[in-house]
Amino acid sequence: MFEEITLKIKMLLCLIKVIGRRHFVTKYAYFMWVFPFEAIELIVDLFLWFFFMQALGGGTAFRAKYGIDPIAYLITGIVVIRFLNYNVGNIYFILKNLYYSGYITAIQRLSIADYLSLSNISIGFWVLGQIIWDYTRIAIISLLYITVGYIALGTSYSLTLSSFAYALLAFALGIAATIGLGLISASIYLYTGVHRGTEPIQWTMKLLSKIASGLYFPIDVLPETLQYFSLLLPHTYTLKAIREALLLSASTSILVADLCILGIQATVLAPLGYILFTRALFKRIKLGPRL
Amino acid sequence: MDIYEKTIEVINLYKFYEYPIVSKLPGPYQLPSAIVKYFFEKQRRKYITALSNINFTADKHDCLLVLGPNGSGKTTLLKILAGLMLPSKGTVKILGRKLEENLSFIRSKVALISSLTTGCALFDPFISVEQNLSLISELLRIDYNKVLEFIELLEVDEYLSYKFGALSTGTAARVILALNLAKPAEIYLFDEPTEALSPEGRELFKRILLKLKQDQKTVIYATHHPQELADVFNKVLLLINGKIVFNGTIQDFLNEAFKGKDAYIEIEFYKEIKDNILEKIDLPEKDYTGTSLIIYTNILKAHLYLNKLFSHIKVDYIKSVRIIPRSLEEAYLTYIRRR
Repeated sequence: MFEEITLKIKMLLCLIKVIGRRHFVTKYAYFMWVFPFEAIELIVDLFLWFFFMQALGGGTAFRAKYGIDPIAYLITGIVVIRFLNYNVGNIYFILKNLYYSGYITAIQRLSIADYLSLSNISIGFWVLGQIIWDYTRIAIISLLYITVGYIALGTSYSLTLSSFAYALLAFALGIAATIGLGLISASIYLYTGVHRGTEPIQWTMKLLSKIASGLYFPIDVLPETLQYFSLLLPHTYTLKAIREALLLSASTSILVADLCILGIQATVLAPLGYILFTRALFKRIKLGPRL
Repeated sequence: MDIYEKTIEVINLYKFYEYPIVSKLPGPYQLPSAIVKYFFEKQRRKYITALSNINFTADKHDCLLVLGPNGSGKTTLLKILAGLMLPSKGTVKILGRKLEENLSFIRSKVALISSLTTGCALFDPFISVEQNLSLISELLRIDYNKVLEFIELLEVDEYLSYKFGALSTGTAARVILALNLAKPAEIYLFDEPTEALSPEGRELFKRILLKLKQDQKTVIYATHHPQELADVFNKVLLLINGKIVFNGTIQDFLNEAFKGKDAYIEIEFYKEIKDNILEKIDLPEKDYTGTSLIIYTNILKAHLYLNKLFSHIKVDYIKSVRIIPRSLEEAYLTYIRRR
């Protein structure tokens, strides 16, 4: 059992290494020619928000009402949502690339998924490897974002051990819940075999996360009907708990409700997503391709 | 060590594909319409039968040629044998193990080798052949040195520094073949691998195929051009509309297709021969047009008919005589036309 797990971890690490190497080579040395430009764009975005805030009076009213620095509020929101929305949307795209590579100029060919299967590399492992590699990229960009906010814009966070631990727990639960959503969305692609058009789950989640999750502004400014949507989103609870922990050093009694709801969402969505995804994968090889 | 009688054993295999589900909806190929169709029209779903009641076996060192017109189920059969798809009904045993229960074992023992058009999904056109091969072999856990050996064998080593996208069709096909052949396996499944190869490329490929045969590997080879490698194979499987219409040795296939007349004598005359002269000679099936006569016969009996011919027609009248064995490709076409 232990040997099997070690072997699987080794295989996963090897896969991440290959995916990273592939990324470096095929994207013309990503960190050399893509990353600096992405980073500059992000820093400009950050200053855009800062100047916007200055134009609206420096965020004094926001600070007075919520007791939080508005720029720190935004940075936390943008960084966390980047991870959560990646989970919701990108598993579908990873799979689409794996299988859609099997169709070109109206003829059927062996897809990347077929090649992986022939070499006994599990599709689930490939997806996980891609996710971990992409997380590394998002983490580096997020770190840059936070650093620029801290150095240039004077944002600060309460980094006590307990606040950090709570934020990390909320983040982990949020990731689990959104990966569940991402897997459900990806299984829809596998069930229908259709790769074009809007995928309803990720479209809805991304749309709602922009307006109803509290990403740019607290949800209490929204009309009551929209606030109901906020209650359904894992994004809302993740953002709220992380901000309360890192920006307000909230106590356990304040955080526990959000963490519990997030825990329930993660417990339901992650296994549901996994079951649907593995069943869809099995169905895919049972039924074969569908043009 | 596993003990098994047959390397490949296929019993009552059926494969059904789900009919494309979005073809009649507005906005076909768009996910929202596909979802509506998927969840609300489940009962009306239709299936296409790609393979029907397939039964055959292959032993170690068998070289099985799979023939059939377009859409006859050849690729589907190979994909099932490679463990990329599961049968809808029936049993497939590879090296004595059932396919469904031993997918990873079977995939580790089988190599599926496709043509250029179906095998290039992993290649990036903007990086060099060498970079592509190194990345893909690392990803698929194939020995890179083995890949380089095949690259040399297929005479494409001078293209290693070229961008993959800049290669000619035939060279790209050889590179893909080299990569796919480097996977060590017990069973090699080929799906029209020589499609884009030039005659000398096919000759090089034939050598590899003969080496596999010599190494006692099982080879299953699907193609539309059987003649080029005819002497490599010992068995034929002919598929039409997903059903096996012939399963046996090459010789039986030729005999059955030509009804024993596996060769023809082609005679050219200097001038026209009168019909009544030819009628006097007791010849089997023949075609006579102007100054040329074709007699269809068994190759072992050709001399008898030539003796008869020479006894009735002066040698001075005869410009040329050729005895030509009929080809596998002709046998295939004869079979298809008959149906």
